[in-house]
Amino acid sequence: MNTKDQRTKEYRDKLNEIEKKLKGENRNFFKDLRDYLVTSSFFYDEEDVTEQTYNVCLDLLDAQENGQNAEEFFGKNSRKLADSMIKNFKHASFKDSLYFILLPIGIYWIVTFIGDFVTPGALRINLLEYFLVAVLSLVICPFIFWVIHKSVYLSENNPVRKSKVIQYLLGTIFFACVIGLFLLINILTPAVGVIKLVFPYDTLFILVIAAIFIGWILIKKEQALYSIIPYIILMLLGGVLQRTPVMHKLLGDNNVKFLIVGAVILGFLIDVIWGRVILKKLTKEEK
Amino acid sequence: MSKTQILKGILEGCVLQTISKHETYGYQLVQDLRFAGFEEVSGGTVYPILQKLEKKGIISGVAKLSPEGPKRKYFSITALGEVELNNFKIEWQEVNNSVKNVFNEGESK
Repeated sequence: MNTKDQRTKEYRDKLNEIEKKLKGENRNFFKDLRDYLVTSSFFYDEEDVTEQTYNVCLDLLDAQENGQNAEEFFGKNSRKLADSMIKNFKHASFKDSLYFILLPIGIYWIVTFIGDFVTPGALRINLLEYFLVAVLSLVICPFIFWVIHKSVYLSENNPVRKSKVIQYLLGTIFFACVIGLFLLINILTPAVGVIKLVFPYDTLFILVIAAIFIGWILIKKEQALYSIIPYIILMLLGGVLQRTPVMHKLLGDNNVKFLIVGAVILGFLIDVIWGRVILKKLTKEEK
Repeated sequence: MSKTQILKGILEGCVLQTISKHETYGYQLVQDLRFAGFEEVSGGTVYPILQKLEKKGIISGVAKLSPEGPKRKYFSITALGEVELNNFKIEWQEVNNSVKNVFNEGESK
């Protein structure tokens, strides 16, 4: 973690502590403001956004301690305040913007790579498929931020704001559609610009890519991605097993298939369960 | 014309003048402005002004420990800010004189 990330984390941690001291309406007011600011900040400087939000929270706490509520101190139109603040946020550096663009693309590419590696035969990389996956992942992340951002200040009577069930249903439908789109790309993309890698080059290539990705997660301490590591390792083992003729001879073709399917399912289950635990832990730290 | 509309143009100068007297932070600044008579001024009006002034290098913000404990951003005026403040004072004086002239003329007729 670099110094800038460290400073941002410190502000975020302190902000979480101070936010807990806010009471009732002030807390709700600030929660909406924070969600609105943070979700607008996809292409703004994260440190600036977090620092400004932290100082707003400190001022609100002062107001609360002096018997004022959020509306008395900030005015009635919190959305107008937030929009004015957003206009004046520092823009993210080119490096940071590139990071946010490349991260989801990188993750989807790795998952697609490893998925291709588990299938029998030589590794085939369909460039058009990888391009479409990149475009889709590029659109989805800002879209999710945009939807959350727009929903923060929905009217109190709006069914989406009022009902957790509707929120959950819409979320589920949205993610089902996203998964569906990725599957459609995988199934329907014509074989344009296919690169074929035969054994052992495919294995070497995948191992290097996976080692870089896992190394990056561990060095950068990207906790949210820890759960994907066992999934990648098990999928890799499955792929290596698939490509090792000795194992086919020793275990028999059917047993190898079962082992691979077992590895994929186990990896997926670990990812889902551990992922939920990590997410809960991170959300708890945020609160 | 509402007081808020009249205020829009001059609030930036008043914020700058307040900061020039002593370094301050968001909440304290709003309280000072309210105490000076700008009762309708809120954090919602002052924050964007502070951000804009800081972005232009007219004021600078430094995180410091506050007497209450946690670090917060204190604003102070920069050399460029001093120049801007002087310009504002001159311009305000001119506007003020012109307004006075118009109203005195109106009253004497």
